[in-house]
Amino acid sequence: MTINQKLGYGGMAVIVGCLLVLIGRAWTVSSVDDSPGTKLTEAQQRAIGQALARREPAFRRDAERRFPGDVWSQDDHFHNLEQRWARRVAAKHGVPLIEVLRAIDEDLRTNKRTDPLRRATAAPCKPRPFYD
Amino acid sequence: MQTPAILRLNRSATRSVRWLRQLWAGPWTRLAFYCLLSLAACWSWLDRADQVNQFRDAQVLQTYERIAVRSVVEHFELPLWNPYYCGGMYALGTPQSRFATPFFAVSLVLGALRAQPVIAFLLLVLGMEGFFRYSRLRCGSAVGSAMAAPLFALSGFYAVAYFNGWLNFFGFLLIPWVLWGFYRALRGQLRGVVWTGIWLATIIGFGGTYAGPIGVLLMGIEVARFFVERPLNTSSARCVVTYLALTFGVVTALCAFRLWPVFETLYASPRIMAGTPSLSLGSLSGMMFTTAAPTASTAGRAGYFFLGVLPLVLALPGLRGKRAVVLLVGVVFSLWTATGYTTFGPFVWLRALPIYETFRNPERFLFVTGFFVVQLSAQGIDRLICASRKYIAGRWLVLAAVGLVLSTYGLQLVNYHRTGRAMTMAAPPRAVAGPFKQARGNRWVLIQFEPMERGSLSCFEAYPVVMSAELRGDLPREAYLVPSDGGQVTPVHWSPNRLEFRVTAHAPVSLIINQNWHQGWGSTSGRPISYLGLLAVELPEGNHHVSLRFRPKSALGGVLISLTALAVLGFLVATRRRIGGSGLLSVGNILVSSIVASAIAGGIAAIAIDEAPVPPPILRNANRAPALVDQLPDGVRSRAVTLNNSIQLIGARAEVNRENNDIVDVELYLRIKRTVPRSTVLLVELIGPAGQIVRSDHQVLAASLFFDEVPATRIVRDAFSVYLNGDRRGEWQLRVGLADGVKGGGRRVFSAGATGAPPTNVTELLTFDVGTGQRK
Repeated sequence: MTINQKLGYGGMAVIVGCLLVLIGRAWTVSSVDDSPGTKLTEAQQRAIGQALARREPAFRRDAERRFPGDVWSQDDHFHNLEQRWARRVAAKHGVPLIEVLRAIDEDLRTNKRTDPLRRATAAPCKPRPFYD
Repeated sequence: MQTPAILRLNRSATRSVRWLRQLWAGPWTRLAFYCLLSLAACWSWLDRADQVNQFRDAQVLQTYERIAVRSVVEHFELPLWNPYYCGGMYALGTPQSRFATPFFAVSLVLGALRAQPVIAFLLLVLGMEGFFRYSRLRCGSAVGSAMAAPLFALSGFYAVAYFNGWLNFFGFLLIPWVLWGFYRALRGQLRGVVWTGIWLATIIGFGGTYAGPIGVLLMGIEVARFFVERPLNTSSARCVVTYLALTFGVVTALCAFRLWPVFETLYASPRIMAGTPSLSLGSLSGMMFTTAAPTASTAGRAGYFFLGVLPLVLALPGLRGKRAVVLLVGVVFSLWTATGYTTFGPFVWLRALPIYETFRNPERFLFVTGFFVVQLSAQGIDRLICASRKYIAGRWLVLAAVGLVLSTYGLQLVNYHRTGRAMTMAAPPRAVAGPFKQARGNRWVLIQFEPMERGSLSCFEAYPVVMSAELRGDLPREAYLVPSDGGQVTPVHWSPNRLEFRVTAHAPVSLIINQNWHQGWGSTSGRPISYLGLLAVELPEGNHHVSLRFRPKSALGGVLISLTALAVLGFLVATRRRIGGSGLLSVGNILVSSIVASAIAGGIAAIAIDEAPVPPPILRNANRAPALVDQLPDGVRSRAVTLNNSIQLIGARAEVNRENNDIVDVELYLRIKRTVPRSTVLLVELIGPAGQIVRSDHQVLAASLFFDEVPATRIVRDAFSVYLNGDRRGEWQLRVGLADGVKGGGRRVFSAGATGAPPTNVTELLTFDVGTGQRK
């Protein structure tokens, strides 16, 4: 066997090894589940849904001032405020974020909305033409 | 006189260089080295392969891939329609989705999340090998290209792209393969044409919104290099033109599966990109020469395209000859382009071209700068290898170069590791079983909604996705009848591309589905219609089993074209290999046959598949008011203000917002008679009672049109609102004017400048009074 052949076989072995390590690692890695497995009780769900319902008009007004006359940007800014609020609430209750978002979704479906600033719709996507 | 010690050292240097050349001569050792480097680069990503990137863009792009996987694995359907985002969108027509390549197989096997680092690894290895092969075409020895290739693929661009969840940006790594194929195509090789098409199709299928167009630009530079390197004569020019035409045809056919859906989408909802992004050379050098300093929320600008200084040192020996001049010119031009609007330069010119007009970030042209710098580095190492054959000192220089290259690899890997560690990751949300429903959603945490079987109406994309304003996130059922007392509807089947319902109608009714209408939907009960933008089917009285399927002409036709081209090319190339290539099986005939066959296939698909025409774009202001009108609405004061020879302001309205008296709603009605430069900016000033000035200048009218796009026969309604901060009571003046947004080094031109004085070319239009109403 020439030195080139030896190098070639060695190279192939390294490639196969790399692929095995790569796929094995990607397949088996199981990082610590840092999201608490707990769930909100129904009462907590209702309370969180209603808490956001109370905050929503203020969030919407803030968005109106920040993006006057731009309904999609207002909506998007509101959602940014909403997600920050939801993350805080999730951390406070020690539950995964999805639990808080479910509570908001449930509240929108079950409770009648009286304030026009509380909506179950979304403004159609219209990204701003300026970013710089 | 050399001492024995020096002689021994020189002998070992000679042996080392010989060993180096031997090591890089074989493909397996080279690929093995690339695999090791790529594995090291991906290691921090692999550590958290099962977690979700929390960056906002990553949430959207990961969701696209997850939905595509679910369509195939759970529903046995092609990933054509994505009902989970924006109220339903054309998945294959979404330019940034990346499932339309063979890499999707990895996602299918490992799942969308765990597949990400594996796909990144494969692309890094491919990028290194592609760069090697392309650079090797012009280098005398393999060592320079082989050692320089990782410098290209390990640049900070991909580390930052992964941080942001932009895996589709790894398509840039395939550009050397495109150029490798194109180099051969220009020299009359059939396989070169085919490879160019295949690699470009892979880039576009992988969501290469920037990589595709920049790859095409580099193909243009490759043509220039061809003529610089070869004597220009009529026959070579004719050969190049012929092969360019054939390459264009083959590339178009092979990319049709993606280009047709994407162009159709962008025709109906064009991406609008204004602004004048500018970057100084200082900030660009920070991106190239400093390592990244990411925070939890952003990768930052530093190290955005980290290459390090050492490749520049390696490039120095390569700065000789015509080839180096071409590369140097490329470096200068790409750097100039990356400065954006800082000077009136290539980025401004590119923005005047279709497709490139939507480019937002000039710094992405640093990819081209890095690509050329690394080619110069390869040439530099190559020159040292040549010198090492003659001189002992040359051998020592080669070893020094190896040291520099290894140090740069080290720095680049540290950069990868640092950005990888800084990514904000979290465990994926646990799936909650239940029927699919649209929810108000939230695009900032989009990844949370699909596992709970909710679509997010909250939507952000780089283009204005066509969405119905009637979509609701609180419906008890996702399908209903209009009128509501017209009967009952029962869902029978739900999957992304197929919806089935049983309907009992007491009278003629419309079956409304809480998803966006798209012309690609068909039904067993007649062609679906758009009911205020929602998907709907009109039904007569009686019992119906309604089945809706999403089979867009652009997807079926595009795939048919690409497959036909591939099949014809494959068959003819195999036949040619078997019986020899001349006459009917000449290179030209093979390519023409594949183009003609795919064109026929596309034509048949276009005629045979029944589908409503693609609707023209709906142009609306940011407040949803229509952008174009035929006459002034009631209540708008008629004006006749000539802003310049082409632009007339024929009406205006300014009112304090009814619900929020901090805000003034303004409407300007403009008629544009002749062609106006695209760079024209409308200057708008509100001057308050205390002399305060609030500006609202803009280049895009009605948030939809540049000045040069306004049809002469229509009136454009430019509606916008302005927030008046502080004490606002009293009489305000509204003044408008024009300026050129690109004039004078690309800066927005205000006569006011920094002094705060009002612009001189502004016309006073009207006054309005802001009262003292209570703030709501």
